[in-house]
Amino acid sequence: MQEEGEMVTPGEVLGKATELKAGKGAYIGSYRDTDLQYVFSSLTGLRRTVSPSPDSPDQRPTVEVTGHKAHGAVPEPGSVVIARITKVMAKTASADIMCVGPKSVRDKFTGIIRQQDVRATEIDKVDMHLSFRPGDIIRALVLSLGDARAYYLSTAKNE
Amino acid sequence: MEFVNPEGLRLDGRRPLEMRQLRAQIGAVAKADGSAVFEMGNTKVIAAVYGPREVQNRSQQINDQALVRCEYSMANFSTGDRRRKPKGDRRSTEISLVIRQTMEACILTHLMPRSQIDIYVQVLQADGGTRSACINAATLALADAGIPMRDLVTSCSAGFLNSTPLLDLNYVEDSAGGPDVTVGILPKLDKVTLLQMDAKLPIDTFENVMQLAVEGCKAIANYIREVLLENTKQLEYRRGL
Amino acid sequence: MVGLSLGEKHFIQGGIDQNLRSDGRKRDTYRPISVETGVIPQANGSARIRIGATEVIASVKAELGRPNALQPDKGKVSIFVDCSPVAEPMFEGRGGEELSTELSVALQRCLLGGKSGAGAGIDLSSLIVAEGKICWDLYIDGLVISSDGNLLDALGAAIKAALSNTGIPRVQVAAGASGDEQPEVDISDEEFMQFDTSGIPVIVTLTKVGRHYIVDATSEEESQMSSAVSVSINRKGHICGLSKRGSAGLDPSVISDMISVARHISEQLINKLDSEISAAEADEDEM
Repeated sequence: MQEEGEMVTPGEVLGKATELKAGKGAYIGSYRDTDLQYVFSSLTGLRRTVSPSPDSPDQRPTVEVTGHKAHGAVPEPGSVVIARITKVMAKTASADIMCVGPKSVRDKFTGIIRQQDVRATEIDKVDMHLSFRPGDIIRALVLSLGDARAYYLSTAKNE
Repeated sequence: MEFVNPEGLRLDGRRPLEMRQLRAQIGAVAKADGSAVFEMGNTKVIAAVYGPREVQNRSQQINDQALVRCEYSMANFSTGDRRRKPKGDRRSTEISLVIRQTMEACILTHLMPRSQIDIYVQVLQADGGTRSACINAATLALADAGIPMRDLVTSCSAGFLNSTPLLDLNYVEDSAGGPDVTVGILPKLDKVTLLQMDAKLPIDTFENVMQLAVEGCKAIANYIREVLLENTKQLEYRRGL
Repeated sequence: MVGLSLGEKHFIQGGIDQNLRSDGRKRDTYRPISVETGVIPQANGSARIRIGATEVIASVKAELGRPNALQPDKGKVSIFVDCSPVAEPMFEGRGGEELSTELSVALQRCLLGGKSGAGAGIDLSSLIVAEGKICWDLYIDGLVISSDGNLLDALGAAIKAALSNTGIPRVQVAAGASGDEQPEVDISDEEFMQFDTSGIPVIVTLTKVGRHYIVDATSEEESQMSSAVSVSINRKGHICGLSKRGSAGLDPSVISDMISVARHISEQLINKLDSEISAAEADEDEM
């Protein structure tokens, strides 16, 4: 077994899949056309083993590899984002996502707020033009990855 | 022409099973997400990786994996006689495709759906084995960009001249008309991902030559791993860890 | 293209107004310049120049050719620039062509003088081997490897460095050829002649952002420019070429003001470059 904090490069074996779970920067694959499943590294960086929480049914520790490159934040369902309204239409409003949680994004992500996601009550009576104006900065929840163009956002939470 | 003299030395003074000097440097292009310069003797290429980022052309978007693109270009001054070539000629299109397919095989594309990864390779000096050098540079650049990969891909060529198998052909040996076997492997997983040969070769000789190229790939892989680890150490040091 | 938010734009413009730019420079200071010569062994001369994060390579290749019939006593020089997609994904495919052509033409204008070849930084008559019959054709190739603004100045400096690094083989013309016959030549492997590069100008680009103008703009600063004036000036302080880019109009008095500032800055730049080039040559000799 290799020691903690050791540096690894992509393709290196981190351990057997029966003893370890693959976390970030690691993946499970078969070794040289055998049926044996191993955990491999997929990044260059430091390996780290995280012990499982005592109440989880799977008692294998998770092995992770942390790379040195910081990637820009990417919105995912459930994350809270700060966005700027770019266009308001009768049933939807589009927005550019600027921050995911406390981190700013590097690339451009667009989001759409549909009429039914603007507020929690009286959702049929929402007038988009009274709710948003282009340039407004909003805090929204990412509902889903949406369609191919944009994330679906929601502002329908009472705070 | 004599490519191996009676003392067993090649035109540039190497032994038949000897590789040219390798040199690599990570992070040559400030703006790119990952970049590297890779030299094999007098062949020198620079690779830059941009991404993963949003797909530029929506019609190319793939919903369950990343789109990998590659462009290969040669500098006007890279070859011995200066030529001004139009962009996108058949040779560079073919090499772009080869590099793209080879790199796609090792990137864990399913982790980055609906995104795009661009690999650009630029040949600064060409002295045989540009294909291999480009793949090695691209591997380093991808690793530098922190893009998850199954394994490092490395590539090396081997040939057969004067009834001797030769490792890592230079331009003169490459243009001698003998067979030129270019191999790309995933060294830790021990899988061949790229295999190209021109000219003909008896099958049992071919096995020897290919085995030689695979050994060369493994040596390059060891070198690339060293470079990556050294680079990571430097970064940690600068961060004060 | 650089995507900047409103705040970032204000920050850049405010910094320029107060003579303190976002990387700590003043309006008239260059980023650190580093020069490396002899980077391309196949070429007759080559150099790599780094200005901040901008990096370019220039190479000079000499080939024997025939002089133009209209100018039998002059050699030919041509400049081509390529923008590698490595520097910017935008340059992929044919995307870099427009910028490449713009840079090539601007460099030709700044370094090679007019059509007649008068006022060129390089003495074209020194390229003649046999008048009317054989001359050297110089092909200068520039390649942009990493781009962070101010490409023209960097390319100009790289070409200057590459030319000082260039050695052209001495050629002996066999006597006896007469009339229209092409004389036989003997190219020496050992003897090389060097160029006199003291007359080659440097290019100083002044970029106008807001009410002020700055030198050596980064790509972020360039995205905020209203117009830019590139002046090429030689060691004697003579202006060898001039080009203006950008859409906004400039007051004639501002232009002459910019030219005199550029002239002042060019003196420092030439001295800096010359010392860097000779240091690079010394480094290369040691290798």
